[in-house]
Amino acid sequence: MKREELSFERPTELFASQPPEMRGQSRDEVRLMVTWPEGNNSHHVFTDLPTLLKQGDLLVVNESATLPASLPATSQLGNIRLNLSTRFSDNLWIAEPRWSVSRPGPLPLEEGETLQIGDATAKLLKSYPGIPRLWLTQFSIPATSLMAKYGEPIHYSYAPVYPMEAYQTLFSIFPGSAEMPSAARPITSRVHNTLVAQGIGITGLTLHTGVSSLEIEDEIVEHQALYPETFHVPAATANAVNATRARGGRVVAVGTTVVRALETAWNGSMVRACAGSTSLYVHPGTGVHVVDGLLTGLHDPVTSHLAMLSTLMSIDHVRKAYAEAVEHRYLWHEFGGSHLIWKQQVESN
Amino acid sequence: MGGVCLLVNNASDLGETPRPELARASLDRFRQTLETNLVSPLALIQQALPQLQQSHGLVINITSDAGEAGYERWGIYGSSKAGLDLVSKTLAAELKPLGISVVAVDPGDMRTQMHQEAFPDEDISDRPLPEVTLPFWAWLIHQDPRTVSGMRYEAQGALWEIPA
Repeated sequence: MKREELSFERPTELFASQPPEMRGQSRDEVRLMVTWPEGNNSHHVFTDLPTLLKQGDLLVVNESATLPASLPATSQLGNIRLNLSTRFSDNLWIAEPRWSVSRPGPLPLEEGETLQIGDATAKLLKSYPGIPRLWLTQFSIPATSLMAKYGEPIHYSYAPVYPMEAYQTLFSIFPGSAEMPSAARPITSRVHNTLVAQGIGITGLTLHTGVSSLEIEDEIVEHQALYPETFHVPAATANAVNATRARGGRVVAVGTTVVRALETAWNGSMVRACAGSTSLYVHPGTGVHVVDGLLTGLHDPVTSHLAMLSTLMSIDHVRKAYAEAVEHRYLWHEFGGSHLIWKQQVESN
Repeated sequence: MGGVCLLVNNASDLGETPRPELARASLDRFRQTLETNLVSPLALIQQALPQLQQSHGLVINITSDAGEAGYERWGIYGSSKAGLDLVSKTLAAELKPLGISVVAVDPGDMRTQMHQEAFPDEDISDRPLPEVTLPFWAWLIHQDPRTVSGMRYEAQGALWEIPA
């Protein structure tokens, strides 16, 4: 797949700069677009979700909670920001040095350079192979204590920083994500209760998200390097997914992180209990095997998320859906609208 | 000398080049390759055993997909690595009571001298430099060795699994 196939226009005024609850709405009152297996779209409010699912369907949610992963740091270049991405140990993380919240890197930093954070240090050991804006970073004290003292949620130029609460979902249990796994954000207690009352199953796994991916740089989408994320698919979740599939129910991933975890745990015929670190890249070449649907947000152009979406529906239908989202003034990013995608039938060729 | 806490058996012999089919391979050269790739790592482990026991250390044996695949003309090197995989797995079980952990790691295809020697007429510039495996090593040495003991990892693979 070529890079330009994932390119589309959407005006920057459609970036959600505020959570709905600060726009005078409830979390579950965001817009919801549905893309049907035939490729047509319909438009709803998120509270309609239970009516769009049926008894025996299974939602799989990410139970990772968001960390205050953005740290102020001082380097030879002056004051910068260090966004933590993936934990290898208490003191060793993949991290992204940025000029500021709004201005990304890569920064002209040298291997071995030491950043100062309060009275602790962060040594840049090595830039990440194929992703020069990320560094393997060694901290002089556990990074969690730095986050507790100096950290704030990672945020970007389109939105100011909000209290930590705004970056957690109903299912945030295990701290570890650099950025909110936001697909479940609109699922409120009342939506949850309605789903459960209707006999729609909800089960959880954990995948700790890293920092947002930027635009794919390689001309060939599949060649883009992705970095690893820590995940855990518990045995009970694997069993629930396999049982749902066996009796013909539909498995709906809540978030691209859930697709990544489930596909990593797929052994060719079923999902198994599995934990560790995954850098699996789900794209049209790999396909998806486990999920029948994906509930997600609206993603940026030329990102690996869109490559994943085009495993569920043709790239033409992705583009058509996104054009409709622009036309209907959906809002983008973690505080914006939702998108439920039903997998299209595979065309035999 | 301080204690040994990490032993990496990396050095290997590709064997006869150009790589022969097994039916025509020199048996003397085969024995030599097995000596280097299979017997020597065990000799080093035996030597380091008391220190590894004291440090609850980790042994990493470098392996190859040639040890599993049955590629044509890779039988010499491949069988030495298949043997090493079994040595790794067996040692992981046998050394567990001593608190010593053992893993096997396949680094994957990389732009190295040995890889060029294996493909003398090929342009190997499309293979990544060995640096591509650095994140894996950083990850591995930060795991609890006893949790991962007995595993076989692909450094360039999509999944680095932690067994339950």
